[in-house]
Amino acid sequence: MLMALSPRTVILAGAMIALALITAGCWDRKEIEDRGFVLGMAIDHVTTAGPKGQYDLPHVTQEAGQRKYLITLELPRFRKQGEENSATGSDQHYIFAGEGESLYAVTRAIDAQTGLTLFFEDLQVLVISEAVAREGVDDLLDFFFRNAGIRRQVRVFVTPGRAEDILRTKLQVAEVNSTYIEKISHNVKLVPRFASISDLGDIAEAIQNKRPFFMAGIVTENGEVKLTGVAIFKDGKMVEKLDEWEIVGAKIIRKVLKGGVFTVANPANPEKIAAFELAESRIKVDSHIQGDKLSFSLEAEFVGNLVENAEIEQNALDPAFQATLEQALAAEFTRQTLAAYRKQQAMKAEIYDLAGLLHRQHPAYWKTVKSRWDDEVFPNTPLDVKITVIIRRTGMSR
Amino acid sequence: MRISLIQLFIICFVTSFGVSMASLPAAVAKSAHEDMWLSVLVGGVAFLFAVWVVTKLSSYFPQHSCIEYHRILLGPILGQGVNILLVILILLIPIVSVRSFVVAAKTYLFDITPPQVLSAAILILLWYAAQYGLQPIIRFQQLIFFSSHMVFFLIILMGLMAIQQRHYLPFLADGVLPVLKGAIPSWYAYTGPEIVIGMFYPFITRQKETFKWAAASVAALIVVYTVTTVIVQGILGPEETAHLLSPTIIAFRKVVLPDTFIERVDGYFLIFWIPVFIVCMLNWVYLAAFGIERILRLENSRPAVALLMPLILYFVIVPPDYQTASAISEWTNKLLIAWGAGILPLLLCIAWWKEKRRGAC
Amino acid sequence: MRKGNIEPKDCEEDVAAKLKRLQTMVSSARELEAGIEGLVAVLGEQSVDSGAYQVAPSLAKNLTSLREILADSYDFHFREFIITSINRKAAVVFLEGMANEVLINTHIIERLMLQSATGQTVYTPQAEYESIKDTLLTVGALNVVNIMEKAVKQLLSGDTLLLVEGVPSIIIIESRKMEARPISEPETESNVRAPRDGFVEVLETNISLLRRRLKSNNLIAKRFTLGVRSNTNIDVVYFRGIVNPRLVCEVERRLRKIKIDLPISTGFLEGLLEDHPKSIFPTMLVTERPDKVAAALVEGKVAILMDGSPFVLLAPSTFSDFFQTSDDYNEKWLVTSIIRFTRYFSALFAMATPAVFVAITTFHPGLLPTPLAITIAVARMNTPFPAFLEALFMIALVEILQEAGLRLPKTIGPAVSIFGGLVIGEGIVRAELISAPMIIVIAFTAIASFNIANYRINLIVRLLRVPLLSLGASLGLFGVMMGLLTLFVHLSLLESFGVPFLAPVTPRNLKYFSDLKDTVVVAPPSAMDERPEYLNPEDSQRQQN
Repeated sequence: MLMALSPRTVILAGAMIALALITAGCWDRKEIEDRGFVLGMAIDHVTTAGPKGQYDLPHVTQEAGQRKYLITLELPRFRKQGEENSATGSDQHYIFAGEGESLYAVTRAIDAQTGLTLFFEDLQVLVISEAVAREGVDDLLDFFFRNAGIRRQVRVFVTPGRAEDILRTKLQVAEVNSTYIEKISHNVKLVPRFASISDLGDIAEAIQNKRPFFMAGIVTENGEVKLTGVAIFKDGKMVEKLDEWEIVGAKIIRKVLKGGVFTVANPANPEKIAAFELAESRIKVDSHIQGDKLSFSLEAEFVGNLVENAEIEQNALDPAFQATLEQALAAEFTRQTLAAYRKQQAMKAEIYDLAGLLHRQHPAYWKTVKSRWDDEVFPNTPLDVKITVIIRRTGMSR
Repeated sequence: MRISLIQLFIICFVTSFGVSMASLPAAVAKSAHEDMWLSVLVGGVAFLFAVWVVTKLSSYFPQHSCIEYHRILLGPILGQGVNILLVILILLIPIVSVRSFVVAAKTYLFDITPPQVLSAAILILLWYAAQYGLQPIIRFQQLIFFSSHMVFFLIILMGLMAIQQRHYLPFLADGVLPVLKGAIPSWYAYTGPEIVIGMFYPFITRQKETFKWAAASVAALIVVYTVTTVIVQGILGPEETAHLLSPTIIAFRKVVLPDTFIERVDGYFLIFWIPVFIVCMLNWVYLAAFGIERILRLENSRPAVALLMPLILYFVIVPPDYQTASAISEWTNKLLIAWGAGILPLLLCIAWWKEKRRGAC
Repeated sequence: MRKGNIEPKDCEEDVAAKLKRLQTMVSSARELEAGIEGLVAVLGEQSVDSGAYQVAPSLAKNLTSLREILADSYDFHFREFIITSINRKAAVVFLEGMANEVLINTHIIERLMLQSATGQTVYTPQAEYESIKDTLLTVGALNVVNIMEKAVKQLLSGDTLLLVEGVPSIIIIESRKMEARPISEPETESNVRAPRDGFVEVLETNISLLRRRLKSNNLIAKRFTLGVRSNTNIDVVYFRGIVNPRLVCEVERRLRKIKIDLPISTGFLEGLLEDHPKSIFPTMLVTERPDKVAAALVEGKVAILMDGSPFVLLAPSTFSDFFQTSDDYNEKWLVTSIIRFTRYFSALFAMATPAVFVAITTFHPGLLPTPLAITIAVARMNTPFPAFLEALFMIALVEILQEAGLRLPKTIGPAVSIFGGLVIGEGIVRAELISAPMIIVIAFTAIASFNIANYRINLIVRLLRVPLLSLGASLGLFGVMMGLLTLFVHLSLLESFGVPFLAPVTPRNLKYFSDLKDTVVVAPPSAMDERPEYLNPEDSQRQQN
C-alpha cells in the first residue's frame, strides 16, 4: 500500500510537513525576553471600591464576582549594560496591579496590558494581607494549586498592613523586593525567633488534610523588610498570631529548633546576662495513651556553647556556675514551650503535627478522635516537658 | 531471528516500564494510603504468577507463538476470536498511554500546541522504527535501556533528597485488605512480560531458562516501581498523592538541585521520560503488528504496522475529555487482569489436560 | 553555328548540357564525400582490443601489432637490436616514465648485446630462447607469456617486453619504477604518539607497509582488477584463520558485482560496496594509517586497498570504530578512557546544543534557574531576531568559515580567521544583531565538533544540527528528543556486511559483553585478550598463532 509510494513522493511529503511545522507551527514558542518573569505577588482587599483615575485602568471585567481583591505583581526590570546602575530600589522592578475577584482573570488582564506574557514558574514570594487572611485563603490558593505552571516552593507570607507595600517599597539594596525577601528567608535558621517559612507545598498538604497551618509574618518600614511572628490559620482563616517568644516554643515542639542565641539572667549576678548558643538539639515527642487518657511527652537535649558572660568576675568554667546556668536555660525553654502549647490549646488549632504523630503511633485511637481533635481533644491534652541543656564550650576565655 | 536471554530481560522490562508510571502512585494511594508501596510490591509478586503461567503454557508449544497455540488449544474459530481480542487488547494500551502522555506533556511542557501534533509525531517515529522487523527494535531497546533507563532511575533516586519520613507511618494500620485492594490497579503497571513471552517464545535461544530471566525482569520492575512509589509517597504524602492526577511529576517538581545548570529536577525527569515512553510504546505497537502478521499469515509485519498507525492516531484523538479516557484506561486494566489471571491459567489447564491425555494414549 | 543570332533551340541545349554537367559534378562530389567519410571512419580512432591480436613468431609483425594496439603513443618506446650470442634480432618494448631505464639498459640490452657467442652448440630456437632466459638476462623477476593481451597489460603496468625473432612468446621483465610520494605523515588523522607513516598511492608500497607489521604467512592479499577502462588493481587483505570466511566471501562477491569505468577513489568504491548507500552514516571505515589497518586485520576485519589511493577501506565497521584513534592505545588506559568518553559527548553536544538552547529558552524557560533566565533575557533584550533565526544564521556562518578555511590556499588562511573574528566578535555583538549567549552556544558547538576523531562523523554532525534545531524550535525539548530518537532508531537499523552497526554497544548476550571493553572506554592492554565477538571470528583468543 504505502510501500508503493516512490521515495521521491515520500521525501516531498516529508519536506512539506517539515516546512509547515516550522513556519506555522511553533505554537508555544515565546522568546525569553518577551516573557514577564513574575517574581512576587501580593493580595490585598480593594481599599476604596469604585473606579480609579479617569479611565479606571485597574478594573478587570468579570462575568461573575465582585471587585474584591487587589493583585499586585512584581517583575524585574531589565536594564541594558551601559545604562546607569542606580542603587535605588524603584529602578529594579515593575509593578502591575489589577482589581477583581478571580485571580486568573486578573492575571490575564494584566497580561493584556503589558507587552509581556506573564510567567509564573519563577514566582518567589506571595504576600497576603492580614485582612484577606482573616477572611479565608483556601479559596484564593486554589489558583496556585491548580495552575500547572506554579511551583510549590513559593514562599507565603502574611503582613499586618497592605501587602502591596511590601512589593512597592524602595529598598536600600539594589534588588527586586521578592528576590531580597527570598534571600532573607534563607537566614531564618540562624534566628529561632523568626517564624519558619512555609511554602505552598506545605499549605497545600495542610489544606488537603484539613489541618491548621501557619504562615510567617513580614513587615516593612523605612525601606527595610523584616520577618516577624507567625500567623496561625484554622479552616483557612487566620485566627491568631504567635509572638517571637512563643515561636521558640513552637519550634521546639515541632522539632525544628536547630540553632540560635538565647539569653538568660546570669546566675552569678541577676542584673547581668549570659548568652547561650545552641549547636545541636535532640528532641523527641511521643504520645502516650493510658486507659482512655491521652498525653504527650517532650524530651529534649540541647547542646551548645556559652558565648557571652557579662559578669566577668565569674569564672565561666566553674561547674556549679555551669550547672545553674544550664538549669536556668532549661527552665526558660520549658516556659517557652508550655506557653506556645497553651496558646495553641486556647486557639483550638494545633500546628505541631501532633495529630500526625498520634496517627502514626496509635492509628486506632486516632480514628476515634479524628473528628474532635482540634476542638475538644487537643485543648485538654497535657504536655509533659523535660528539657536538659548541656554547655559544652565556653569560648576562648575563662 | 533469535532473542537471547539478556535481550528478553530487557524487552520485558522495557515493555512494562513507562506505561503508567506517572499515575501509578495515585491509583494505589486511593485504597492503600500509607502502605501504597507495599501494594505495589504485592502487585508485582502476584504478577509473577501470570508470568509463570504463560511460560509453562508456551513451553508446551516451543515452536509456536501464542497466536498459533491459541488456535491449537481452542479450535480454529474460538482460537482466532481469542487472538483478535488479544490484539485489540494489546492495541488499547498504546492508545491509552499515548493519550495520557500527550495530556501530561501538554500540561507541563506545552500550552497551545495541539495534542494531535504530538500524537502524530510520536506515531510517525514509531512507524519508522517498527518497519524493519524485530532485530533493529531489540538493538534500539538495548541502547535506550543502558542510556535513558539508567539515567531515569538515577533521577528518580534524586527524589530521595526531598522525602519526609513522617509520610510512611503508620504501617499496616488498616490491615492487609487495603493493601490487596491497592495491588489491583498496580497490575496495569506490570503488564507486558506475559504477552511478550507468549508472542516471542519460539525465538528465545535457551527456552528452558526463560522463566528465570523473565522473573528477574519482573523483580527489577518491582524494585523500580516500589522505589518510585516510596519516593513519591515520601515527598507528597498519601492524601496528596491520591488527590493529584500525575503525582510523580508534581513530586519531582519539589526536588531541586541548587546551583546547577538545570536545577529543577523535573526538567531532567520529563526529558528522559520521553525515550523511556517511546521505546515502551514501540514494543506494544510491534506486538500488535506481529500478532496481526501471524493471524493473517503475512510475510512480514510492514503492512500491519502501516495499517495500525492511522488507527491508533484516530483512537488517541477521539475521546473527548479526561473522564472518558480514564474510564477506558480502567477498563483496559480490568481486561488485562482478566487475561493474565483468568484466561491464561485456563489455557494452561487445557494444555496440561491435553498433554496428559496424549501421554496416556 | 553562326555567331550573331543565337537561336533559342541552341540556348536550351547549352543550358541543358551545362545543367547536366553540374548535376554529375554534384553527384560525384557527394560520392567523394561519402568515400572520404568512409576513409576517415576507417582511419578514425576506435578502441582497439588487444585481445584480438596474437603473438606471432615474426618480430616485425609483433612490433606492428603493438604499435597498432598502443596507437604509437608518445611514451611507447621500442629498441631493436641483435642478440649476439645467438645472432637473432630482438626488440625491447617499454613505456617511458614507468619502466626503469637503467635496468633495461644494463641488465637487458647490455647483457644481450655484449655477450659474444659462447661457442656452445644450441640446436633449436626454443633451446636458444631458454638459454637467453637462463644465462643472459640478469634480472630478478621475469615470466613468459604467449597471449598478447596479458603482455600488453603488463606493459601498461611498467614492465618491459622482450620480443625475439622466431619465437611466438614474449618475455616480460619486471622493471617498474614510478615516481611516487614518499611515505609521510597521514594528514587527515594526526596523532600525538602514534607511528607517523601513512599509506601512499602505490599499492605495492602499501602492502609492504602492512607486511612489515604483520610478518605472518597467514596474511593473505587477494588481487582483483576493477574498472573496465582503468584496470585498477584492488587488493583484499585478510588474516586467514581469524577472519570469518563468510565475511571474505561477501566482500569478494560485492567486488565482483561492480561494473564501472574507473573507480575514482576509495570513497567511490565505498559507495558501491556498502550496505546502506542512502544513509548518511558510513558503514565502512576509511583510514590512512597502517597501524590502524594492522590492528583491524588482527581483529578479524577485511581491508580493501586500491592502487592510486592512499585510503584503505575496512569492512565491517561499527559505530565505536568511528570514535577510536590510534592515540587511545598509546597512553594510559584510564586517561584515554576519559578522553574517549568526551568524544562521544562532544559528538552529542556538537549536534544538539543549539537545538537544546533554543528549545529551553523559548519553550521551557522554567527549567533554568531564575538568575540565569534573567541574565539571558537581559542579553537578548534588544536583538531583533528570534532565537531560532539567530542560531540558524550563526550556524551558517560557522559552516561557511569552516569550509572556506579548508579550500582556500594557505596564504589567505590567516585573513579568513581575522575577518571571521572581527565580524563575529566585534561587529555582530556590538551591533546587537545576535545576542551574546547565542554566540557562546554556537562557539561551544563548533569547538565540540572539532573534538570528534573522525572527519566524516564531523560532517554528519554538522549536517544534523539544522534539522534538530528546527525540531527544537517548533516542538521544544520534546522535538529535540524525538529527533535524537529518530537518529538512534536509524543507527539501530544500519548493518555493515552482516554485522549490526551498533553491535559492540548492544551486546547480544553475556558472551558478547567483552565487546564493551573497547567501545566507550579503553580497557587496559592486559585485559584485551579477546577478539570482538560481533565479528564471529574463527579464533576468539588473541595471542595464538
